[in-house]
Amino acid sequence: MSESRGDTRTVMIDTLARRAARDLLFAATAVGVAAVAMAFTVAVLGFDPLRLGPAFLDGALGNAYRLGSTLALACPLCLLGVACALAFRGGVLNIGAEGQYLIGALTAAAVGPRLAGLEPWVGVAVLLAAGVLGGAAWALLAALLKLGRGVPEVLSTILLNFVALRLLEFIVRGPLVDEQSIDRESTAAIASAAILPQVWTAGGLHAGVLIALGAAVLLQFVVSRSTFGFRLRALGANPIASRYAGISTASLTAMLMGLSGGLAGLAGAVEISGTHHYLTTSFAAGYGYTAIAVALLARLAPFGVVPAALFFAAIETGTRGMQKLPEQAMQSFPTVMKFVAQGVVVLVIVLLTRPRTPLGTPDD
Amino acid sequence: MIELRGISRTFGTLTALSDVSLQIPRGAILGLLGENGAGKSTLMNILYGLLRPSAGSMFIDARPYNPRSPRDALQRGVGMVHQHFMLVPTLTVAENILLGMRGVRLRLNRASREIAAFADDVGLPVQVDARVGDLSVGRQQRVEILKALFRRVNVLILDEPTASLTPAETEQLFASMRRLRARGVAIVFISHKLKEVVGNCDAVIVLRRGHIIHAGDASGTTPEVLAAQMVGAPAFATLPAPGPAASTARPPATASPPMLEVRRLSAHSRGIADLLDIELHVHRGEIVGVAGVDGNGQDALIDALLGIRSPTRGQVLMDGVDLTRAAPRERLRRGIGHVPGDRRRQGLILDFSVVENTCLKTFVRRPMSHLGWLSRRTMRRHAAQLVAEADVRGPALDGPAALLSGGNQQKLVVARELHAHPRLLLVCNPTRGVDVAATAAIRARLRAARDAGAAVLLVSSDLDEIVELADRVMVMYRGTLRPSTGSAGDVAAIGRLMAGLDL
Amino acid sequence: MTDALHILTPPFALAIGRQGITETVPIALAALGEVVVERSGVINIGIEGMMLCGAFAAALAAHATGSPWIGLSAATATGALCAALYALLVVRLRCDQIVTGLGLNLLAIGVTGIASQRLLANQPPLAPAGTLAGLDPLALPVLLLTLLVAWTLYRTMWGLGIRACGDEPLAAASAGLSVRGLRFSAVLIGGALAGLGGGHLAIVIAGRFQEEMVAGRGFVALAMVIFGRWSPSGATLGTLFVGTLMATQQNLQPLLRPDQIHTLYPLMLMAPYVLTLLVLSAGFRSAGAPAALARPW
Repeated sequence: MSESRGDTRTVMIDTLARRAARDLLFAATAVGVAAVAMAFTVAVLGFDPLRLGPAFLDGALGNAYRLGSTLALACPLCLLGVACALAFRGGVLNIGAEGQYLIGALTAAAVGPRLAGLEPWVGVAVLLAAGVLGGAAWALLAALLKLGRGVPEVLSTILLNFVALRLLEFIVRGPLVDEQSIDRESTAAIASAAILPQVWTAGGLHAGVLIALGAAVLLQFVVSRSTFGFRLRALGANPIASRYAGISTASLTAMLMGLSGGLAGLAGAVEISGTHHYLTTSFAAGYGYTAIAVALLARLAPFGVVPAALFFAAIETGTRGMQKLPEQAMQSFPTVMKFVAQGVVVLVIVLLTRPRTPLGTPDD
Repeated sequence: MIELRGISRTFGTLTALSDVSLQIPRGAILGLLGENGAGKSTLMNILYGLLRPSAGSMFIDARPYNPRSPRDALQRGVGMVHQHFMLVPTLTVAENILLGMRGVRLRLNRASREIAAFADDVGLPVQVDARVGDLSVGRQQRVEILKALFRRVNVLILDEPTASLTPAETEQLFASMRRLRARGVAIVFISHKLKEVVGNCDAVIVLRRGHIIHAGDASGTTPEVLAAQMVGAPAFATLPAPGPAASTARPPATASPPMLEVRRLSAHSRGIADLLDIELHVHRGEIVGVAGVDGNGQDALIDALLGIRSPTRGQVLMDGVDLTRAAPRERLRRGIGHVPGDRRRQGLILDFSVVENTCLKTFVRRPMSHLGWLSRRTMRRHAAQLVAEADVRGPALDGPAALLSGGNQQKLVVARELHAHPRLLLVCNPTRGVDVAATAAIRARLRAARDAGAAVLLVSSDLDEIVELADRVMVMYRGTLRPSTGSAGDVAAIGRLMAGLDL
Repeated sequence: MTDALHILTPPFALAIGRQGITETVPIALAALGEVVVERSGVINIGIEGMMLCGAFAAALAAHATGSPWIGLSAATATGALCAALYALLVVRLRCDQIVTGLGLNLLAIGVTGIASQRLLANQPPLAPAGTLAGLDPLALPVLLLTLLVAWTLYRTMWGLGIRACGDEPLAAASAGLSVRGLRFSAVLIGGALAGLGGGHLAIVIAGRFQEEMVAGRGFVALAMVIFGRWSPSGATLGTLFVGTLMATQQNLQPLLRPDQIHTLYPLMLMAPYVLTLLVLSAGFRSAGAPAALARPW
């Protein structure tokens, strides 16, 4: 090292560039394999992948409205992906983004109807804050179980997802039910003051897209440039050395869990405020699980989450586009295909980033 | 008779072993000497089937021997006792010995009786139904040897077997080795302790940088000759003068109030005392050595002093301030430096760059960061300075610390901890797994820190290191800490305390 | 609403007990397999997906042949097949165990979802598997399996090797054992039992395949392995609690008015997960966990 001090600047750029190039290559490989896997399943199901390809792209990007839908769908995926990426980066295995997202939507939908008469931006802010608090509180349950009782967060967060789903159903049908609804499966609509404004009317796109983008950019800087980010990365890379370096790992774990849950809750609130305007029992769509694939595809970099979220959003809207093809057969085109893509992406990334064997190194 | 012909092994561009040929007859003890990194472990791993040679061939009783795994080696009668025991602490002695044997059913009662009888027969009696984790280190080593012998091995490799034994346990081991030799077992005894090799082996081989430098009868040589050969003459010449001579000239530092004061400190885990009523004072400008066999509570002591684990009773005071309940961060802020015993797990974040590792404990403070944002330029400048000062050699400041060699990793940790001018420095086995030159450099820096007024607590299982560096010696045994009454150089007295014997 | 005390009458309790055993069987099978897997040092989060694949294969095979037993066999084989893929990734290729398991779960939902829409659309209910001694056909086998797993772990050389791999794989390798081979075999057994559990779910409990029908039972099984301190009997006992609660909850439904069911039903579905979380937080001790759990070799 002492020899090369003169050109450390180039060395630094070189290492960073190489790392970025590798991440990009891994992501491209995963996307490629996922595309092949999807084409293969389409063919197995008896459809022609070559004919479906254009329909898929048309569904995802074909016109302003469809592009807008894809971008709108990417919003929650992006926020949820950042939530997962942050937690994973800090070594906290928060698999509970789904549950935190649902609770965030629930708290947002609970306060939403009561915000009538407020200034529009105040209403939106209160609604989003409610979502953040709901998601963070739900995540902190898992942190409490981990730090207080030693329950591994992988399990507690997964189980809490199931609890959240049923809790949402109960509250939507019971305490929060809209008495005017026929099927008693939805809450009352939120006040207009709590609705996110549109930023692109032709695409029907709400301002949540700016929130998601802003969160990704901000947290990218936080992770790489702030002392909090330094702590978070240290904890994820070596929790033991982190403790010896004076980092309070317990409180940092709790903070990370809360932050991750808060972001997931924000995603739920943005969905309510921007897209749905009220909560139904069929709100859960598994975005919280998709987010795990998003975060891994982004190689746990918050900014990388943006393109990764767009990719998975496009798969979802593209599949919807294929269902709209004229043939009868296409209407039953399975929406679960997105899970194939997610599973393949996760497995390819985990395969590419597996640890190299420690054997075969010289003894010291 | 086992024979090696022209064995070489390379790792990438590095040659760990080059053209090694040797013979080990039955009923003989071969001493294998060499510095860390000389290739001893590589050679033995090849013999035991854990590594494959890049070139060369091996024979047992004139039949080719090409082990692909320890299973192959054991089948051909080659057994190994590793420096770090290969035992499962949660299993019993009998279960550990039976592990990997043929058969479907595990008939524990019958097998236990057989093992007990066998152990008595070879003169290594053990309690077969004890959990291995509950045994002392010496007893665990006995289980390891029995494990090999029970498989009817006739070549036994002992890798640094005395490294973690008390002097008394070491003597027992040598007695066992002589008994096995009489039964016709060929023993390879790996060590870097010269006297042990000269005194207990029939033949000696010295390795340096993968080459055999010396081979001959043990009776025809002396420790001094072997030492020169092991390290090579130039390295030997730069070895520093022994410590006590240097330190006796200094005025006693105990006159001033202590920097570290520990009062009746105890710590328990699940009802068992890891630390029991520890009393300890460390003053400015002195090195207090804590000798002892690994696993007698040294880690618990350091962790309690750092606030990593909380004591069940007692007090820790630094410069008169009670820090018993203070968080680790608060203690570091007050000027505690720490060179951990396990640098890869405790001291460094291997995935982090060298720059980030140099700032691991200072990144929260100015000038490394401001208002919560890192100043990457300052961090870099600091790292470059540190690396130059400590002569850390490696790929790049922005490359991961994992790419540094063990010695350079340790130099980096020592440099980081000393750069902050700690008032109290806690050091654990600072030169374990470090080459001779780096060892000398690290010890010199510790002495310099002491001379600059730091209070240094040196925990080491290497008695030579303690004797060389410490001004006062304490001995740790089963969670208790007792002062050695003799002079710092009274090895015999220290040894008795290490074994738990009263003076 | 009928008399609430009805729940205390012997016939009602008996019905709950019988149904509780049926609800226990699939979770217990998965948990018993997972005990073996975790004792070898591997944690299989993909257990949920393996159960789902088992359920699908059982429905498909039983649908095609009309025999519930062939269905259960197919489920076992499919579970083992999924486990082989998982073991290839985490044991042979040393991939991260938790992320791989999650990926496998996602893939399982996708593949079974697509395949069932294609192959099992408009399926009639499957032939029931009947009963054994008046109980669930697999109740007695699960009991015997608990003893068998315990015997294998503690009284065979293979079991000794498995326990060594989970606690100190280096020692196992040094004793001449193949850590990867042992872990591979453990994962295969775990997958086969999870698959069988899924098959039971499809054939005995639901009588058909439904997307996402496993509904977290695999995760509950994982939790019960921890609750049972990695012992076969402890795991089976833990799953019996959850199974009984599920049966109680189902038997309470007729006691409610339809409009009450509409709102309260989600709470009943929530109960097993809440119980699992409570049990985990009350009884969890990290002591007893295999020391090398989730560490690749």
